Amino acid sequence: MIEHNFQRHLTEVMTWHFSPETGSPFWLDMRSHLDFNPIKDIHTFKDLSLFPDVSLALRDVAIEDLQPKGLANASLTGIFESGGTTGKAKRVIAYDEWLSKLITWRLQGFKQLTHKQAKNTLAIIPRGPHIVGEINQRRARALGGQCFTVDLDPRWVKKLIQAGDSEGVKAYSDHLLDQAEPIIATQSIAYLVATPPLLEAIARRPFLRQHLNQTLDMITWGGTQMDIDTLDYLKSTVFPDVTITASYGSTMILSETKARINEDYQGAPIFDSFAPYVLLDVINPDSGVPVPDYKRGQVVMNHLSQYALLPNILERDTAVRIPSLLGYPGAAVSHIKPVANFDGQVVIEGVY
Amino acid sequence: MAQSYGNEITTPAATQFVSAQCLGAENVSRRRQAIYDVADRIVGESVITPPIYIEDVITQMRAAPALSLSQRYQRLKKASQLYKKASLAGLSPAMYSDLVMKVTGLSQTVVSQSLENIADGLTHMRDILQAATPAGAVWMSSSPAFTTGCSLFSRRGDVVSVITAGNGPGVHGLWPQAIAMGYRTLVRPSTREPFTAQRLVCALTEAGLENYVALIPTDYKGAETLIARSDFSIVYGGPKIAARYGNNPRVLVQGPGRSKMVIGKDVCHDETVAVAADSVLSLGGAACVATSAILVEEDAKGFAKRLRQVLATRSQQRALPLARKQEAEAYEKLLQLDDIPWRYERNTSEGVLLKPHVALVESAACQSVQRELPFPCVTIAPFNAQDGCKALSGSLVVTVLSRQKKLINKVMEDATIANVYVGSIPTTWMDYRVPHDGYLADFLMCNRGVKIETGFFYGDDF
Repeated sequence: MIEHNFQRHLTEVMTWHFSPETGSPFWLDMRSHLDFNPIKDIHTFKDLSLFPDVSLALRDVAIEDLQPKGLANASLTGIFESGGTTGKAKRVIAYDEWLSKLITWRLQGFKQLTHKQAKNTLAIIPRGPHIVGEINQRRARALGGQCFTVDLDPRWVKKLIQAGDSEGVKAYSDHLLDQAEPIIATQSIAYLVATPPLLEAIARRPFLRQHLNQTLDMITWGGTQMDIDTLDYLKSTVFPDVTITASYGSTMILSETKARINEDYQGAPIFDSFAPYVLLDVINPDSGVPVPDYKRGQVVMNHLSQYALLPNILERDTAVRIPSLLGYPGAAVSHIKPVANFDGQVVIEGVY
Repeated sequence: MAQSYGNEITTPAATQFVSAQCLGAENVSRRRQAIYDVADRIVGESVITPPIYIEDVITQMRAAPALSLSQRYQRLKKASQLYKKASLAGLSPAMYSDLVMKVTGLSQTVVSQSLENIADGLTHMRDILQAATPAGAVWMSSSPAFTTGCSLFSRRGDVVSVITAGNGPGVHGLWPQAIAMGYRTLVRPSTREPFTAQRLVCALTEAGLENYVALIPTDYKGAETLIARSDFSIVYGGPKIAARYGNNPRVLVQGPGRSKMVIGKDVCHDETVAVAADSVLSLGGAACVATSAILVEEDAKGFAKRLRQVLATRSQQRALPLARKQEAEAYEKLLQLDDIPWRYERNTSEGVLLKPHVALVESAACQSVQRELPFPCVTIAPFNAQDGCKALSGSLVVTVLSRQKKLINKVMEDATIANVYVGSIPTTWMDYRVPHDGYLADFLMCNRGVKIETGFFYGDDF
């Protein structure tokens, strides 16, 4: 049933992006360079590997060329850029409708306690050109509160790390928490979104640690990997009274994935994508062949909606492949780690 | 791409398990690190403590109840007996020695001797610290010297971390002094040989020093956290570590030893070659005090020939150190351009036998004079007043085998040489009263002027 639906979805998406009336200039122009006919030849998830990885082209393309003609009247949320972890930033566009859909999916199955008190979010994460900020803003409202923000510039942190400036990294982390502390002290914050190094820095501040343990309903971590022993310790010792969950996303799929509720793989969260619009795969980068379940490989991401077509994008992360839910093609992922070297550049991760 | 696509977490069939220990509690992580013997077999596994846990432990240790100086001495003495005789972490002294021999490749003699030495150090801690105390200083606030004014020998901080090395168990003889001084001491064991640190921490914990000592097996990130969050650190390592932390005033680098001998023209080679061979072979040649270069004033070539003969004979009489094949391969590569290249024995299954190596070079200015490898490996060069003395600078130990006043004075005057011995004394000679690269107290303690008028204050220990 799902297999059949997926095939139909795939055909619809190909037809949309490669028809002159609805497609974007970027893909319509690309069609003549492809040695296959995307409408006729793309039937299965596996066929998506026929597409070249267009992410490098997204560094230079004009954003007008990315807009599908069929969405001429749709409301555009904005332009977003990749973190710039591996060189020049890549640019994508996101529509309001897409982000609404995504948030609805993201909060499915989330049990919200009905209190009269506001349930605000504090997000110490990148905003500006980074889509994660926009997603969390919307998520905060959907959770029935406002979103307090402390701005984290991931590119600056990466520069500091690259320069071996550990004092500078610490100073920046202190700078972020100094801004977060008065918000936490004066406002009603139920949800915290932060990176793993910031959670570790919070654990070093007795006031924040004690106060947040009493007031928070949930912590969501993301942006960079966390080892399972640190996660264990945060759960068992630092924040025993708070639910800790995670998110893993990429600008290239215009979305986050969702950590499976009440299920982990050897201590690490399992991330499911927003199928059938966003599908992940885990492959052996040398052969391009998917790795068996529960083996590590490099992550490939696909965004397949009328809002964008971003197929077969090789990510900078490796992960353990986990069977997907509901029988959709592709995979869920766990135990994310950056590849040491990507696209000829050393991958830098830090506070972010 | 250097990336593993195999199983996510390796869980070898371990025989000895090394967990984190602090404040009397054990901590276990999900991630593990395998410990290999010289034949590349897994003989144990150790936990990888995450930084967030380390930070909490440091905070808790700072706040833990304190013991007085005399209580600490007493418990160190008790730990000495336990360390020498008790079954600790599931290992009898014999089982422990066996395991250390397996992973370091050192002989029974070297390992047993270090067990004795470390235990002796714990017993004689009061004498060791007394030797390091300035004549005008006292440790106790109740000392009568306070009424006239004196120096109170004081801790410069409260927490010290020790990033240890695994070339030999001897390195663990030093850090227990920090406990005697009253430091909360966190020890990161070597990933190669964590068993000595484990045994010692267990002994100290059982003796009632659980608030003063912690065993923190961890990775690179954890070690960085230990250094960043402790008041002071003692870090063992080679030139890379020295470059990274050499300028950090909170870090004491116990780094390359590059110990040397000088053979004067006034002494007979027949008399000196024996002590030279001792200095090269002692402690399996793996310690920083083992001789790695010999400068010979007259007939360096002849001396090299004699030394080669003596080492060959001695090698048949005593157990040589063993190494993993990959280590032996690395040494072979490093030594391939020497006058007589060194080759390792191909046909061994229980680790590779490390035969002694003697290289002869033209000048004391040659780079290989500063070469230090963790097995009996020595470079011989001719000595002249200029190049020779320059080559000696920065050595941990220099033994001068000569009666020439001018030469001895020249070496004595160079304060970058930590230890100077004159006569038939191996560079590996040690005594707890004699500083070894300075006293540890030089780094961890300071003198503060104190005078207390009679009747105002009767303190206890600080």
